Amino acid sequence: MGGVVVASVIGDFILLFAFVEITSVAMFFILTLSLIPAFFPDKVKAEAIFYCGLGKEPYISDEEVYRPNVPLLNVPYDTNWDNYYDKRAVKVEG
Amino acid sequence: MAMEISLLPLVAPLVILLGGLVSPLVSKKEKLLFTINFVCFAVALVANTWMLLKLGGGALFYPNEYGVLVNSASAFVVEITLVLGLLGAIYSLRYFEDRNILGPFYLLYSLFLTSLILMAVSFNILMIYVAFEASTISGGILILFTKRRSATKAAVRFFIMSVIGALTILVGILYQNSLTGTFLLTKGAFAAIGAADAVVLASIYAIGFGIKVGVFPFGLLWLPSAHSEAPTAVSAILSGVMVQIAAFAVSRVIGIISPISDLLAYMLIGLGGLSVITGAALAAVEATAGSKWSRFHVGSANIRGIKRIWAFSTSSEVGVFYLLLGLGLLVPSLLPVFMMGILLHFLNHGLSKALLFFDSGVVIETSHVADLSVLRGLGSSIGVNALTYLVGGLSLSLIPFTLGYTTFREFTSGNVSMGITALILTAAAFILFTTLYSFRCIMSGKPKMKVVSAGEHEKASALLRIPGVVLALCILTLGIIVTLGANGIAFQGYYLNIEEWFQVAAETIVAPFAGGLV
Repeated sequence: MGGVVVASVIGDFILLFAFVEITSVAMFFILTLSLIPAFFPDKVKAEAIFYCGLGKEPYISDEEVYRPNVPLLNVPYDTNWDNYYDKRAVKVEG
Repeated sequence: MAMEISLLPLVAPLVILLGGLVSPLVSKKEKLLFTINFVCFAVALVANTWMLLKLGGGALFYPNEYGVLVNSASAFVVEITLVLGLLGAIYSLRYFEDRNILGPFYLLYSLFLTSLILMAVSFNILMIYVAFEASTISGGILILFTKRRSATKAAVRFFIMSVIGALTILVGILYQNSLTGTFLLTKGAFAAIGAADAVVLASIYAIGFGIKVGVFPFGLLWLPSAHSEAPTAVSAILSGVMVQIAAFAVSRVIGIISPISDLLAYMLIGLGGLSVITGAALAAVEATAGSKWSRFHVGSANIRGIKRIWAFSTSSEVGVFYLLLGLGLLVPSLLPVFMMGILLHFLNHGLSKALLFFDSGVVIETSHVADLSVLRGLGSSIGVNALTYLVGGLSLSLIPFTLGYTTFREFTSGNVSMGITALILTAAAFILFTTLYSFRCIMSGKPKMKVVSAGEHEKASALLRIPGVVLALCILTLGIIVTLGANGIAFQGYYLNIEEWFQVAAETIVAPFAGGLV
């Protein structure tokens, strides 16, 4: 961003453009970094946290271990529409 | 009016952006949020309508000819953007269950529309490029607002493909700069470059913008998923505005470069033709057999998605732009005629597709179902929107007395070969079948599985119904005037005025003002 400002002041079009592109690519990089974990979430097995009876029982369930939010919006996923109808309002059997 | 310096071209992008930025800061109350954005859209619309009516063959710019420049073609494109943007803002007020996200939604929505407007109002490829990137970021995040896992996948596809498109355009921009020493889109700048360089440059831009436009094969990778997974108002803008503005931008760029190459022309016609027929066929497959056969689905369940149908249709309609552009390059003397076709198709597809998405949204909100296989028929629950849905579908099927008749006339004129006419009419037949089939499912669907609704179908909020009704009225009114006027039955005066205006506007796609080469 600083480069963009400096290049604007100097008035070098090519330099300005190069910095604009670097900024742009950086933004996309950050965006992708935040999107990929949601796209390919890590699964953790709660049962695997078991020390042959030496430790405490796992105090969380599989569901609680990993519950990613919607990237960038930071709100929970709406799972009611996973099958393209609202599970709360419609029941489909068969 | 000739070329004049004025602050008016800044009003639409600035006021809309201001509305989106200020409203979440002023209040979290949904009605106040909406009112601020509504007023901003209305102000922008008034300013742009004034320019649309007054500009004629002239142009207004700020701060110079290569900053923001509004001429008849740009003002026309911005007008459609603003009308659909305003209707989308109205629709969104009752769409989101979680009211807390309405503020951020309006902020991104206004940024998205601002970036799209900026793409349309410049003859500077750098500004077009920056606006392209801004629209990708804001548009991609807007897709996430349905809060579904499948929407995240769709957004990732959208981002990846858009970045590839942007990088391709970037190569073109640097190549253009090395050839012409400028980033400006002027006939004069390209007059001195070699024919081969012009062809290579135009090809790079055609592919780079083609990814964003959604032409075959790039569009199938991201368009059906992104357009169907987004919130309904965003789907309407993605399909009705974004892909079309990208097509408008590539028409401007390639029209100005004017490469003389039959090979490039045939490449554009080929890409356009494949898009037209593939998209229309896949829409019919989606409506009848489902995503298992139509593919390009990001959800886990096999569905016959009502919004997916119209997303496939979009990837068909964008092919028309490439077809017209290719035909214009093939016969340069007819370029103004095909540029006029581009503007008319922009109008028809923009209004019809936005209408179909808005009405599909009404169906989904009323029945709580987005899958035609599960819809049990809504009957009178969607009321007048059942009729407006039909109007949208018929217009895309190029039926007379709708706006689609303009595209029908374009492709049945003597300027187009029989093969291309047959292709367009086949695609229109697919869309007509899809419209009627999906309409039947909506009105009297009989699912194979047992479907139990928790309650009766709810009545959709009046605010959700407004966009469909307004757009259907526009499509029918203009369609009747054009159909009767073009055939010498009635409204001939109105028709001739409209035709004359479009002829002037078509010239200004590739030049700042009518008759002006810079």
